[in-house]
Amino acid sequence: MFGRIKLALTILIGVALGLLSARYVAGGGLDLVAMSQGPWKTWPSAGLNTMDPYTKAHFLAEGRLADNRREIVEFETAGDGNGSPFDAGCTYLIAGRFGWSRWWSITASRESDHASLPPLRPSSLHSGQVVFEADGTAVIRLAADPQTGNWLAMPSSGRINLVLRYYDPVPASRANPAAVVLPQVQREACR
Amino acid sequence: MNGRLFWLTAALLVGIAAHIAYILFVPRTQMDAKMSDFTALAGTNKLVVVEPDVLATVLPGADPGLAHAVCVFDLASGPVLIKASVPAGYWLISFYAPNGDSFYSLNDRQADVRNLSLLLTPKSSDPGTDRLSNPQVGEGSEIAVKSPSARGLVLLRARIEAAALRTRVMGDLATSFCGRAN
Repeated sequence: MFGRIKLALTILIGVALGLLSARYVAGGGLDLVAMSQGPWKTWPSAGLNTMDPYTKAHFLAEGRLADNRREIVEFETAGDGNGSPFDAGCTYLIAGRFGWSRWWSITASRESDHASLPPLRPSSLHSGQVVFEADGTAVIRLAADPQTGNWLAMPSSGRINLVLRYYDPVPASRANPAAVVLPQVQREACR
Repeated sequence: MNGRLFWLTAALLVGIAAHIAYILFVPRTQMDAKMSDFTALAGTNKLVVVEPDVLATVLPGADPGLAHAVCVFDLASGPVLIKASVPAGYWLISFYAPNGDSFYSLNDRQADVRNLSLLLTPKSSDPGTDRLSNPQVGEGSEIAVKSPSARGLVLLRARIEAAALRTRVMGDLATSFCGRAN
Protein backbone atom coordinates (compact mmCIF):
# COMPACT_ATOMS: atom_id res chain seq x y z
CA MET A 1 0.00 0.00 0.00
CA PHE A 2 2.75 2.43 1.03
CA GLY A 3 4.74 1.44 -2.06
CA ARG A 4 1.78 2.28 -4.32
CA ILE A 5 1.40 5.72 -2.76
CA LYS A 6 5.11 6.32 -3.28
CA LEU A 7 4.82 5.22 -6.91
CA ALA A 8 1.81 7.48 -7.56
CA LEU A 9 3.56 10.43 -5.91
CA THR A 10 6.73 9.81 -7.89
CA ILE A 11 4.80 9.75 -11.17
CA LEU A 12 2.80 12.85 -10.20
CA ILE A 13 5.86 14.85 -9.18
CA GLY A 14 7.82 13.66 -12.23
CA VAL A 15 5.06 14.56 -14.67
CA ALA A 16 4.51 17.97 -13.02
CA LEU A 17 8.24 18.75 -13.11
CA GLY A 18 8.53 17.58 -16.71
CA LEU A 19 5.59 19.65 -17.93
CA LEU A 20 6.52 22.76 -15.95
CA SER A 21 10.14 22.65 -17.11
CA ALA A 22 9.06 22.15 -20.73
CA ARG A 23 6.68 25.11 -20.56
CA TYR A 24 9.31 27.22 -18.82
CA VAL A 25 12.02 26.59 -21.42
CA ALA A 26 9.58 26.93 -24.35
CA GLY A 27 8.30 30.17 -22.82
CA GLY A 28 11.76 31.67 -23.02
CA GLY A 29 13.03 30.76 -19.55
CA LEU A 30 16.82 30.46 -19.21
CA ASP A 31 17.10 32.08 -22.68
CA LEU A 32 17.88 28.67 -24.17
CA VAL A 33 15.66 29.15 -27.22
CA ALA A 34 14.61 32.80 -26.82
CA MET A 35 16.60 36.02 -26.77
CA SER A 36 15.87 38.66 -24.16
CA GLN A 37 16.33 42.38 -24.40
CA GLY A 38 15.02 44.21 -21.36
CA PRO A 39 11.49 42.89 -20.83
CA TRP A 40 11.16 41.80 -24.47
CA LYS A 41 11.71 38.26 -25.73
CA THR A 42 11.98 36.91 -29.24
CA TRP A 43 12.25 33.36 -30.57
CA PRO A 44 14.87 33.63 -33.34
CA SER A 45 14.17 30.27 -34.98
CA ALA A 46 10.42 30.96 -35.28
CA GLY A 47 9.06 29.98 -38.66
CA LEU A 48 12.43 28.93 -40.09
CA ASN A 49 13.21 25.48 -41.46
CA THR A 50 15.48 25.15 -38.47
CA MET A 51 12.73 25.99 -35.93
CA ASP A 52 13.57 24.12 -32.73
CA PRO A 53 10.89 22.01 -30.99
CA TYR A 54 10.74 24.34 -27.97
CA THR A 55 9.98 27.35 -30.17
CA LYS A 56 7.36 25.31 -31.99
CA ALA A 57 5.85 24.33 -28.64
CA HIS A 58 5.87 27.96 -27.47
CA PHE A 59 3.74 29.09 -30.39
CA LEU A 60 1.54 26.07 -31.01
CA ALA A 61 0.75 25.31 -27.35
CA GLU A 62 -0.98 28.70 -27.35
CA GLY A 63 -2.65 27.95 -30.67
CA ARG A 64 -0.48 30.46 -32.53
CA LEU A 65 1.23 30.03 -35.88
CA ALA A 66 4.88 31.07 -35.96
CA ASP A 67 5.81 33.50 -38.70
CA ASN A 68 9.01 33.33 -40.65
CA ARG A 69 11.31 36.06 -39.36
CA ARG A 70 12.16 37.03 -42.93
CA GLU A 71 8.58 38.33 -43.01
CA ILE A 72 7.81 39.30 -39.41
CA VAL A 73 10.17 39.76 -36.47
CA GLU A 74 8.12 39.43 -33.31
CA PHE A 75 8.88 40.45 -29.72
CA GLU A 76 6.76 39.74 -26.66
CA THR A 77 6.61 40.95 -23.10
CA ALA A 78 4.29 40.25 -20.21
CA GLY A 79 5.69 42.99 -18.00
CA ASP A 80 7.56 46.28 -17.67
CA GLY A 81 11.26 47.05 -17.64
CA ASN A 82 11.47 46.27 -13.92
CA GLY A 83 10.24 42.75 -14.53
CA SER A 84 6.82 43.32 -12.92
CA PRO A 85 3.83 41.85 -14.76
CA PHE A 86 1.41 44.34 -16.30
CA ASP A 87 -1.28 45.54 -13.88
CA ALA A 88 -4.59 46.65 -15.42
CA GLY A 89 -4.82 49.38 -12.77
CA CYS A 90 -1.64 51.09 -14.00
CA THR A 91 -0.55 53.19 -16.95
CA TYR A 92 2.63 52.23 -18.81
CA LEU A 93 4.81 54.31 -21.07
CA ILE A 94 6.21 52.55 -24.15
CA ALA A 95 8.75 54.84 -25.73
CA GLY A 96 11.55 54.64 -28.25
CA ARG A 97 12.42 54.22 -31.89
CA PHE A 98 10.55 51.57 -33.80
CA GLY A 99 12.13 51.96 -37.27
CA TRP A 100 13.44 48.46 -37.95
CA SER A 101 11.03 47.51 -40.69
CA ARG A 102 8.71 48.81 -43.36
CA TRP A 103 5.97 49.08 -40.74
CA TRP A 104 5.22 47.76 -37.28
CA SER A 105 2.34 47.10 -34.93
CA ILE A 106 1.94 46.68 -31.20
CA THR A 107 -0.89 44.63 -29.72
CA ALA A 108 -2.10 44.15 -26.14
CA SER A 109 -4.00 40.98 -25.34
CA ARG A 110 -4.85 38.66 -22.48
CA GLU A 111 -2.16 36.01 -22.24
CA SER A 112 -4.62 33.23 -21.37
CA ASP A 113 -6.66 33.40 -24.56
CA HIS A 114 -4.78 36.04 -26.60
CA ALA A 115 -8.11 37.78 -27.05
CA SER A 116 -7.74 41.44 -27.91
CA LEU A 117 -10.40 44.02 -27.21
CA PRO A 118 -13.43 44.89 -29.36
CA PRO A 119 -12.53 47.01 -32.43
CA LEU A 120 -13.76 50.23 -30.82
CA ARG A 121 -10.97 50.06 -28.23
CA PRO A 122 -7.48 50.36 -29.74
CA SER A 123 -5.89 47.12 -28.53
CA SER A 124 -3.54 47.29 -31.50
CA LEU A 125 -1.73 50.24 -33.06
CA HIS A 126 0.35 50.29 -36.20
CA SER A 127 3.02 52.72 -37.33
CA GLY A 128 0.58 54.51 -39.65
CA GLN A 129 -1.72 55.35 -36.73
CA VAL A 130 0.90 56.60 -34.30
CA VAL A 131 1.83 60.28 -33.85
CA PHE A 132 5.63 60.52 -33.64
CA GLU A 133 7.74 63.00 -31.68
CA ALA A 134 9.90 65.53 -33.54
CA ASP A 135 12.99 63.34 -33.02
CA GLY A 136 11.34 60.33 -34.65
CA THR A 137 10.57 58.45 -31.46
CA ALA A 138 7.10 57.29 -30.51
CA VAL A 139 5.49 57.50 -27.07
CA ILE A 140 2.56 55.15 -26.47
CA ARG A 141 0.50 54.88 -23.28
CA LEU A 142 -0.75 51.43 -22.38
CA ALA A 143 -3.74 51.76 -20.05
CA ALA A 144 -7.23 50.39 -19.52
CA ASP A 145 -8.71 53.91 -19.61
CA PRO A 146 -8.47 56.35 -22.54
CA GLN A 147 -5.30 58.47 -22.66
CA THR A 148 -4.26 61.55 -24.58
CA GLY A 149 -1.82 60.98 -27.44
CA ASN A 150 -1.09 57.45 -28.60
CA TRP A 151 -3.31 55.17 -26.52
CA LEU A 152 -3.03 51.38 -26.53
CA ALA A 153 -5.98 49.92 -24.66
CA MET A 154 -5.11 47.30 -22.06
CA PRO A 155 -7.48 44.43 -21.18
CA SER A 156 -8.99 45.14 -17.76
CA SER A 157 -8.35 41.64 -16.38
CA GLY A 158 -6.05 38.66 -16.68
CA ARG A 159 -2.37 38.35 -17.42
CA ILE A 160 -1.53 40.87 -20.12
CA ASN A 161 0.83 40.29 -23.00
CA LEU A 162 2.27 42.83 -25.45
CA VAL A 163 3.41 41.76 -28.90
CA LEU A 164 5.52 44.05 -31.06
CA ARG A 165 5.71 42.97 -34.70
CA TYR A 166 8.10 44.33 -37.31
CA TYR A 167 6.63 43.61 -40.72
CA ASP A 168 8.95 43.22 -43.71
CA PRO A 169 11.96 43.82 -41.45
CA VAL A 170 15.13 45.51 -42.66
CA PRO A 171 17.95 43.02 -43.41
CA ALA A 172 19.83 43.85 -40.18
CA SER A 173 16.85 43.02 -37.96
CA ARG A 174 15.86 39.83 -39.74
CA ALA A 175 19.47 38.61 -39.77
CA ASN A 176 19.93 39.32 -36.09
CA PRO A 177 16.82 40.16 -34.02
CA ALA A 178 19.08 40.75 -31.01
CA ALA A 179 20.44 43.84 -32.78
CA VAL A 180 17.04 45.54 -32.76
CA VAL A 181 16.88 48.38 -30.24
CA LEU A 182 13.49 47.99 -28.59
CA PRO A 183 11.28 50.57 -26.90
CA GLN A 184 11.43 51.00 -23.13
CA VAL A 185 8.41 49.89 -21.11
CA GLN A 186 7.99 51.84 -17.87
CA ARG A 187 5.22 51.94 -15.29
CA GLU A 188 3.97 55.51 -15.05
CA ALA A 189 1.14 55.62 -12.49
CA CYS A 190 -1.35 53.35 -10.78
CA ARG A 191 -4.90 53.92 -9.58
CA MET B 1 19.07 6.23 1.56
CA ASN B 2 19.10 3.83 -1.41
CA GLY B 3 15.30 3.87 -1.37
CA ARG B 4 15.19 7.66 -1.54
CA LEU B 5 17.73 7.73 -4.35
CA PHE B 6 15.64 5.18 -6.24
CA TRP B 7 12.44 7.25 -6.01
CA LEU B 8 14.29 10.46 -6.82
CA THR B 9 15.81 8.86 -9.93
CA ALA B 10 12.42 7.46 -10.89
CA ALA B 11 10.79 10.91 -10.55
CA LEU B 12 13.59 12.43 -12.62
CA LEU B 13 13.15 9.84 -15.39
CA VAL B 14 9.37 10.34 -15.41
CA GLY B 15 10.02 14.09 -15.56
CA ILE B 16 12.36 13.76 -18.54
CA ALA B 17 9.79 11.58 -20.32
CA ALA B 18 6.99 14.11 -19.62
CA HIS B 19 9.22 16.98 -20.73
CA ILE B 20 10.07 15.30 -24.06
CA ALA B 21 6.45 14.21 -24.59
CA TYR B 22 5.20 17.77 -24.10
CA ILE B 23 7.73 19.27 -26.51
CA LEU B 24 7.18 16.64 -29.19
CA PHE B 25 3.45 15.96 -28.99
CA VAL B 26 1.76 19.17 -27.84
CA PRO B 27 2.66 21.18 -30.98
CA ARG B 28 1.46 18.34 -33.21
CA THR B 29 -1.86 17.88 -31.39
CA GLN B 30 -2.43 21.64 -31.24
CA MET B 31 -1.76 21.96 -34.97
CA ASP B 32 -4.13 19.05 -35.65
CA ALA B 33 -6.78 20.85 -33.57
CA LYS B 34 -6.13 24.06 -35.48
CA MET B 35 -6.49 22.27 -38.83
CA SER B 36 -9.80 20.79 -37.58
CA ASP B 37 -11.00 24.23 -36.45
CA PHE B 38 -10.16 25.75 -39.81
CA THR B 39 -11.76 22.83 -41.67
CA ALA B 40 -14.93 23.38 -39.62
CA LEU B 41 -14.79 27.09 -40.40
CA ALA B 42 -13.85 27.01 -44.05
CA GLY B 43 -14.10 23.42 -45.32
CA THR B 44 -11.29 22.02 -47.47
CA ASN B 45 -9.80 23.74 -50.51
CA LYS B 46 -11.92 26.79 -49.89
CA LEU B 47 -10.74 30.22 -48.79
CA VAL B 48 -12.75 31.99 -46.11
CA VAL B 49 -12.25 35.45 -44.60
CA VAL B 50 -12.06 35.28 -40.80
CA GLU B 51 -14.50 37.65 -39.12
CA PRO B 52 -12.92 39.89 -36.44
CA ASP B 53 -15.11 38.44 -33.67
CA VAL B 54 -13.83 34.89 -34.24
CA LEU B 55 -10.21 35.85 -35.02
CA ALA B 56 -8.98 35.42 -31.43
CA THR B 57 -10.70 32.03 -31.20
CA VAL B 58 -9.28 30.47 -34.36
CA LEU B 59 -6.02 32.43 -34.50
CA PRO B 60 -5.08 33.38 -30.93
CA GLY B 61 -2.61 36.23 -30.82
CA ALA B 62 -3.26 37.29 -34.40
CA ASP B 63 -2.76 40.96 -35.20
CA PRO B 64 -6.25 42.55 -35.27
CA GLY B 65 -4.77 45.26 -37.51
CA LEU B 66 -4.72 42.75 -40.38
CA ALA B 67 -7.57 41.12 -42.27
CA HIS B 68 -7.14 37.34 -42.34
CA ALA B 69 -8.31 34.68 -44.79
CA VAL B 70 -7.59 30.95 -44.43
CA CYS B 71 -7.72 27.89 -46.64
CA VAL B 72 -7.10 24.29 -45.57
CA PHE B 73 -5.59 22.66 -48.61
CA ASP B 74 -5.67 18.99 -49.53
CA LEU B 75 -3.59 17.85 -52.47
CA ALA B 76 -4.94 14.27 -52.44
CA SER B 77 -7.11 14.90 -55.48
CA GLY B 78 -4.69 17.11 -57.37
CA PRO B 79 -2.96 20.50 -57.33
CA VAL B 80 -4.62 23.46 -55.63
CA LEU B 81 -4.82 26.90 -57.18
CA ILE B 82 -4.85 30.07 -55.08
CA LYS B 83 -5.90 33.25 -56.83
CA ALA B 84 -6.20 36.56 -55.03
CA SER B 85 -6.98 40.10 -56.07
CA VAL B 86 -4.84 41.52 -53.34
CA PRO B 87 -5.48 45.03 -52.02
CA ALA B 88 -2.97 47.84 -52.51
CA GLY B 89 -0.55 48.06 -49.59
CA TYR B 90 0.94 45.37 -47.43
CA TRP B 91 -0.23 41.79 -47.71
CA LEU B 92 1.38 38.47 -46.87
CA ILE B 93 0.54 34.94 -47.91
CA SER B 94 1.99 32.10 -45.81
CA PHE B 95 1.80 28.34 -46.23
CA TYR B 96 1.97 25.98 -43.24
CA ALA B 97 2.57 22.23 -43.06
CA PRO B 98 0.59 20.13 -40.53
CA ASN B 99 3.62 20.17 -38.20
CA GLY B 100 3.44 23.98 -37.92
CA ASP B 101 6.38 24.74 -40.23
CA SER B 102 5.93 27.75 -42.49
CA PHE B 103 7.25 26.38 -45.79
CA TYR B 104 6.56 29.32 -48.07
CA SER B 105 5.66 32.98 -47.82
CA LEU B 106 5.37 35.94 -50.14
CA ASN B 107 4.54 39.58 -49.51
CA ASP B 108 3.35 42.45 -51.71
CA ARG B 109 6.82 43.85 -52.45
CA GLN B 110 8.31 40.48 -53.33
CA ALA B 111 5.42 39.71 -55.69
CA ASP B 112 4.70 43.25 -56.95
CA VAL B 113 1.38 42.19 -58.49
CA ARG B 114 -2.30 42.92 -57.74
CA ASN B 115 -3.56 39.63 -59.17
CA LEU B 116 -1.78 36.83 -57.39
CA SER B 117 -1.87 33.27 -58.69
CA LEU B 118 -0.12 30.34 -57.02
CA LEU B 119 -0.25 26.68 -57.97
CA LEU B 120 0.33 24.35 -55.04
CA THR B 121 1.62 20.86 -55.83
CA PRO B 122 3.27 18.11 -53.77
CA LYS B 123 7.01 18.36 -53.36
CA SER B 124 8.78 16.16 -55.86
CA SER B 125 11.54 13.77 -54.99
CA ASP B 126 13.94 15.97 -56.96
CA PRO B 127 14.68 19.01 -54.78
CA GLY B 128 16.22 20.78 -57.77
CA THR B 129 12.79 21.26 -59.31
CA ASP B 130 11.27 22.82 -56.21
CA ARG B 131 11.04 26.56 -55.82
CA LEU B 132 12.40 27.51 -52.44
CA SER B 133 11.20 30.91 -51.29
CA ASN B 134 10.18 34.38 -52.33
CA PRO B 135 10.74 34.39 -56.08
CA GLN B 136 10.51 37.58 -58.11
CA VAL B 137 7.34 37.21 -60.12
CA GLY B 138 5.49 39.24 -62.70
CA GLU B 139 1.86 40.22 -63.27
CA GLY B 140 -0.11 37.34 -64.79
CA SER B 141 2.47 34.67 -64.03
CA GLU B 142 1.61 31.65 -61.94
CA ILE B 143 3.90 30.87 -59.05
CA ALA B 144 4.65 27.20 -58.44
CA VAL B 145 4.74 26.31 -54.75
CA LYS B 146 5.80 22.86 -53.61
CA SER B 147 4.24 21.51 -50.45
CA PRO B 148 6.14 19.05 -48.24
CA SER B 149 2.81 17.53 -47.15
CA ALA B 150 -0.51 16.60 -48.75
CA ARG B 151 -2.44 18.80 -46.32
CA GLY B 152 -1.76 22.17 -44.78
CA LEU B 153 -2.91 25.73 -44.30
CA VAL B 154 -2.77 28.87 -46.38
CA LEU B 155 -3.03 32.15 -44.50
CA LEU B 156 -3.59 35.35 -46.47
CA ARG B 157 -3.28 38.60 -44.52
CA ALA B 158 -3.67 42.22 -45.56
CA ARG B 159 -3.01 45.37 -43.59
CA ILE B 160 -5.98 47.52 -42.57
CA GLU B 161 -4.68 51.09 -42.77
CA ALA B 162 -7.62 52.54 -40.83
CA ALA B 163 -10.60 51.00 -39.04
CA ALA B 164 -12.98 52.48 -41.63
CA LEU B 165 -11.24 50.42 -44.34
CA ARG B 166 -11.68 47.05 -42.60
CA THR B 167 -14.79 46.08 -44.57
CA ARG B 168 -13.16 47.03 -47.88
CA VAL B 169 -9.98 45.05 -47.22
CA MET B 170 -12.01 42.03 -46.04
CA GLY B 171 -14.11 42.38 -49.19
CA ASP B 172 -10.94 42.32 -51.33
CA LEU B 173 -9.80 39.13 -49.61
CA ALA B 174 -13.27 37.60 -50.00
CA THR B 175 -12.88 37.68 -53.81
CA SER B 176 -9.88 35.34 -53.52
CA PHE B 177 -10.05 31.71 -54.56
CA CYS B 178 -8.55 28.53 -53.17
CA GLY B 179 -9.59 25.28 -54.84
CA ARG B 180 -8.72 22.41 -57.14
CA ALA B 181 -6.85 23.46 -60.25
CA ASN B 182 -8.64 22.15 -63.34
